[in-house]
Amino acid sequence: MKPPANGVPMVEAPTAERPNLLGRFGQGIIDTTTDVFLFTGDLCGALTRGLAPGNWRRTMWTEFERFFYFTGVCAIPAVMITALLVGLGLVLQIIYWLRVTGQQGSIGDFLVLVLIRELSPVVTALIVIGRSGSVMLDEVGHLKVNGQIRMLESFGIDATDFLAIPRCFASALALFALTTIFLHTALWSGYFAASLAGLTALSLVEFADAVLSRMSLGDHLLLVVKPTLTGFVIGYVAIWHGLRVEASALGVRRALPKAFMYSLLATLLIGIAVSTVF
Amino acid sequence: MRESDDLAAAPPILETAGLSVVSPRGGTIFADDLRLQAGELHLVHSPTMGQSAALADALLGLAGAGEVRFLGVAWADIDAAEACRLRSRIGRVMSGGNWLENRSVMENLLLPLRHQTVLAEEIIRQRASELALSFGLPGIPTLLPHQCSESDLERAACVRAFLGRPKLLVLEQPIEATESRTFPPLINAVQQLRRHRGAIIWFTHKRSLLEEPGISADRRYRIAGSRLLQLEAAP
Repeated sequence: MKPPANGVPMVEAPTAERPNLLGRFGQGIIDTTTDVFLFTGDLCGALTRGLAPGNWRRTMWTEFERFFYFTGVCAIPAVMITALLVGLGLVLQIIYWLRVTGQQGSIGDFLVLVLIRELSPVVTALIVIGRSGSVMLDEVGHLKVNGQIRMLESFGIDATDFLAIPRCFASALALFALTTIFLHTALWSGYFAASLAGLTALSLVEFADAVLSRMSLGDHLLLVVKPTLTGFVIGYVAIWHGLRVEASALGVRRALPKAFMYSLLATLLIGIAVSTVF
Repeated sequence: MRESDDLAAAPPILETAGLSVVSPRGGTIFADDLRLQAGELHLVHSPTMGQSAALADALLGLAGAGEVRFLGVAWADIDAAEACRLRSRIGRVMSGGNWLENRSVMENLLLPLRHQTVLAEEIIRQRASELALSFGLPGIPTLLPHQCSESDLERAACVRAFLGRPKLLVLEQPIEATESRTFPPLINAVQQLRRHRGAIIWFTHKRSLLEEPGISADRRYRIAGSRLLQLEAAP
């Protein structure tokens, strides 16, 4: 109690106890771990429901088509331009330096390891995260803030069924298709640039054979599994955060960087895990 | 046994026990022992849209504490999928419409039936067109919600609520005024639903609507402070 002023005793207002640095750090870890477990559980639930036969209603197909068009078809120019630059930069460099060091026979090994296994899925995933993930989060977040999720539930429409499952499957299929487009664009643009510059004597068929002959079954499987799984998770990260935004004007804006970080981490973790398995 | 005795003996469409819900403006609203029998219309005067929305959400099992039974099933006793299936038998006009802004009004209207049923598209469109005409619209609006007039959206919201031939209809401020062009067709549709043994709970912020003879409500309530008070006994 403070000393009396003018004879009136003054009582200090109780203040909320603020946790110290260690406490906040610990709480942060607990919150993040809880989020990760919740997210993983919800993700598995959505995946199971999406794969269960007969679960897809016609409204979900409509949503799937809409989002496949937006995430996949509309992203083709962005992916092709990026792949062209990667092809001119990376593939041309690989061909050039292998020629300089006299290791032209290893061209297939290098391209499979760097471009096919690692770079294509990750770069394409980054394009999808930036281009579509943020839009998905923004859309679902605003549906949540404006009460339209409540409207859907009032009419007996489950938000996971109607919003999450079609978008995640569309994102998975789109990422697989875009990765394939990226890979071919980068590979062939690099080859044609090297041919024009006189850096390779390989014909088109010999070049294709040099790459394909170095690809194992695991590499082929990786090219399907990595982008598909990454695409699904990227989509679900966006929707999951969108469905949990705070009902305030800043809710969506606060969720965006968090979802971006989670998507990026998920992409890298899935990349490492799938590369280890295959 | 007379028909009225039959109705009284039938299980209620909706009943609450110890229901309480937090209003968005703070405070809790208690709505104990609300019972809607088939064919009944209950009119609730709610001063704010937030209160009626919170109470309507609670009746649909989307919020609140306590027990709410719809067609004899408590929302708390069923899983999410079963709750969605049951909610497909409820029509609702929400305050402000709550339209999906990037879909046309037509897509919005057809969405619940397209999602929940396997009815052919033509049948759903046909039904929606007939309802739209009965509410005075020239057809199903194909524009985006923000491109439509308020009056058209008001009527389209009614079409959406009635389209699934609901067993329970929850109306939250469906019309701005009794002079509205929507009022006569809405009353017609409500009376028709009552004849088909559907129940209606109608929230309004207009006191004058409580005395409106055209509505012929079975019970009238008002939200006073934290309680839902019945204004008069059922006739």
